[in-house]
Amino acid sequence: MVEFNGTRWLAAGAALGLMLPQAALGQTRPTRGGMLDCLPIGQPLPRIPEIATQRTSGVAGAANVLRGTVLLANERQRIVTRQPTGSRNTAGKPGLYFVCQEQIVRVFRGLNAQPPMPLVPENRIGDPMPGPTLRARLGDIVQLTFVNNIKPNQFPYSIDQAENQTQVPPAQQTAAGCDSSTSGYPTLGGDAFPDCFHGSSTGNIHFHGTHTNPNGTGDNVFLEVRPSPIVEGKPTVTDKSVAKPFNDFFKACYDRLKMVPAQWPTTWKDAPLGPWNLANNPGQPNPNTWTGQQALLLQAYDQGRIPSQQLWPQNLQQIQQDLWPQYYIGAFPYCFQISAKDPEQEINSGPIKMGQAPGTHWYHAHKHGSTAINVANGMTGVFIIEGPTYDDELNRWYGDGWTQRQPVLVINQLGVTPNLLRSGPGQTDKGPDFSVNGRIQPVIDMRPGEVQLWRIANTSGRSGAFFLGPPPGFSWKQIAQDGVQFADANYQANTSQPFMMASGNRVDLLVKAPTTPAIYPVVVQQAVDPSDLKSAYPVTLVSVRIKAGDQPVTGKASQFIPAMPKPPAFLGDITDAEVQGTREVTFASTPPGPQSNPNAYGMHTINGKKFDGSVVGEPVWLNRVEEWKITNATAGPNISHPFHIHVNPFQIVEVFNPNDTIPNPNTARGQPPTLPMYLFTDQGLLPGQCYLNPNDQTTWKPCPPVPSSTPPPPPSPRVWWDVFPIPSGILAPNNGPLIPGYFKMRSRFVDYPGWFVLHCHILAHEDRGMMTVVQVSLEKAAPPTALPFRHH
Amino acid sequence: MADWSIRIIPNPSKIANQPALLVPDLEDAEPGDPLEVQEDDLISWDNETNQPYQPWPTDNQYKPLAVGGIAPPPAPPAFELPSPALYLSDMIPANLSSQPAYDVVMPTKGNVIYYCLLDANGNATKTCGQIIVSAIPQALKVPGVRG
Repeated sequence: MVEFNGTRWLAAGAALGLMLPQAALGQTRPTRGGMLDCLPIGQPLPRIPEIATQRTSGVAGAANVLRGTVLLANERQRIVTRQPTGSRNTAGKPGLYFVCQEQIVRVFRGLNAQPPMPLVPENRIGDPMPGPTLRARLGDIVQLTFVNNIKPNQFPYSIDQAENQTQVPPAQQTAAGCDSSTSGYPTLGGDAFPDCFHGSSTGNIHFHGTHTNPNGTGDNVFLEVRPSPIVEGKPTVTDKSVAKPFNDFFKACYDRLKMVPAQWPTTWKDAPLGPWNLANNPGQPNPNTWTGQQALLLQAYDQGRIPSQQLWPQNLQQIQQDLWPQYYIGAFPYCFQISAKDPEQEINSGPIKMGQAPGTHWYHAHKHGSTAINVANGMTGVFIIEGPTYDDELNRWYGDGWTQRQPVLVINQLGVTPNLLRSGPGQTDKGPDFSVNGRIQPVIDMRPGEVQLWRIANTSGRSGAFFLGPPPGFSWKQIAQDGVQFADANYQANTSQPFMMASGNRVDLLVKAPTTPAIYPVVVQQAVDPSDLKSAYPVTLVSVRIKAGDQPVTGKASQFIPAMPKPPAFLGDITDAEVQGTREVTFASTPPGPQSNPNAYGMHTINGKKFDGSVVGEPVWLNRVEEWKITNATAGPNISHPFHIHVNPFQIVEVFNPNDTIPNPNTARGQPPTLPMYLFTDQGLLPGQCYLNPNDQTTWKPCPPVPSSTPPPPPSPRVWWDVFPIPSGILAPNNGPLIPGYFKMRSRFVDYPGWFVLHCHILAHEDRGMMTVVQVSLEKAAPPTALPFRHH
Repeated sequence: MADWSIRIIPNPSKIANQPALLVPDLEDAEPGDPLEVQEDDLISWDNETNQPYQPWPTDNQYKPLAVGGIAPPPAPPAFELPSPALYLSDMIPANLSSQPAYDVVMPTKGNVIYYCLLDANGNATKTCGQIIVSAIPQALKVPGVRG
């Protein structure tokens, strides 16, 4: 029988930040049947191994190269699960506890990371660890060998089901291409390919937060790298087997990209990876080039498959259109430049308009259909990009190399399978508890009075983390959002504020410790909408340990930097005069269980459509600056879909949250602390409240600030984001209309033409269709509306 | 909530007349070990042999049960989703993993799911296994931390 004794952690105690004594954790021997003892709460925060830029020449004859190998492979891990599952059993609820089980997951490992992070041997069980932290600097060339050595058969249905359509009986054709379970997924919910869970053995990497080439060997999420063939239990495509052609390519890529921003290579004709075909027989793959070898591997892969599921014909079609094809077997060489713009240069001067912002970015799996499951497995990591206006200036205050010694916190909700594949209480579970660097409630050591920089990335695929504020005695100041440093006015204006990190957000936080030795919990709530906060339990994300006897820190190392360094000029506000066009993009979720099918799941769309894998949803001209109204026609249940767009960050200029509140001026006992900001009546409005007329859309806008006798402060510089939660809508009473929430954002679609995506960063929503394609095309060219890529 | 995999591996010496062996894909598991799971977990089978097989529920004497009114032989068809509670998988082609994934349901009697592999013709083989199912546990009774 499954033995739960000894594997329980009292979540109630954990929520209070209590350190449970070791004895409370019970037995130490592993139990049978995949059940394992959990690591005791309070493990030190693991330092994630790094792949860092070479600062000396020698690698492929070049310095300033972020060179490494990211291996995607299976690993047995001790995975923590909250028990019991169910919609009401949310993180931190008293009476819940954790169990640990041996599970097989897909992971990113850095083969040349320091310290080493080898894959756990097949006969061993490891603990979760994010992918290696990538650390580079503005102007570097990224040269990453990506190797997919997944063994698909160890997972349920992990082989792309689409590939096995010959096995699908006619009765199940509606589910063809999708993962399926006996619970009824995907048939019951009406999910259909490509907007269903599928293809989790396919890999790629999205470099989230980078402003770079979205196609070719850049931040290209249309790439699909299938696992290496396996012969006698061993993959045939490995880092060693591709080392020679990739080394040659990386050297050529460096030479092409080192001087100017460029999108290269663009086709399989480009040497040294190509040409893929023989000069004297153009239809025949060239066995002496890597692209030719890929063509041969793809052709072998296609044998026995039905035509619609063959990969090589689609690559060939893209090659004939002079495009970089999207399908690969076993490995792929990522090579792109991290653009560096002189921080003094204005937006319209220099070879590029928007440089890369130095800061905390990240990377993760982004195969449509399996983004949620792969991110939940742990296929995420942080990508730190250093630069003179940020790291160098912080180090000038705190000391040489200080920023490189600071903690990196990778938040995730580790798990194995999307809920909808289950029919029991697991189907409605609100998602796993947060882990940080693979540990539940780890401990960060700080010296008394010390200031640390925490680079926090919420890489979970579902929940936002609402930080309630610093622990008693602590103070903190946010210095960057989504990898973009704050202007000084924003830095000065925030001290020890609560803040929300939606899925995908990053926050750089200066944290100052008190001098009293103790263990202090940093408490968050898990939420996908502000309305969740009313019922979400506080849970400890990490604890900070200040040891008795440690020497207090004094001087600059104990002080917040007095002023934020000046951001680069290109990060100035987008002015009204810059805006050349507007548009509206609407996210919407239907509630689950409509009358026609009470068992149906909610549906997630953008502009009324699911992603169809073939149409460009938002064509934009290169170098245009636009203001977009991003609306959320979702209400009951409320979901603040985290809007994310690739390649170009954006600024928020207006937010309308029809569910917003104001402090209740009546503080008498028994009165609610807050009141609705918007009322469906124009009677009895208090200062700060507005009338929301269901029949007059001109009233569906933000309530103006309360008039004050003191003049308002000058507007602060706007913050840059790449993920922002769209406020939920509200249903007007008496069967009135759904009044959507929205925000307006401005972005510069500059420097890099090509195809990329925008989507909800609740990744199960993205996998199920809440994604669309943005095409940035050369100015004044009529953009096509057909996407030349496909999704398997 | 967990996912589990059961390997179907060759049995070249045909021990006990079994054409293949069943072994939970766990670090310390041996062929023939039962898999211990919880309701609502997911199970798949990794067919590492060169023959197709289909796991099919049986009684505790390993006699195939009728599932959804269908009992082998002949080779049972795949069910539409959702499948009957004890339908474990479609026929698994050689060297592939199973579909659909089995969403574990507590048996109506006892807590053990007995099953055997069917061959390509739907005939039961002597390769049989057990899945031991635990009920979803209750929350612990501890004092609340907020009102």
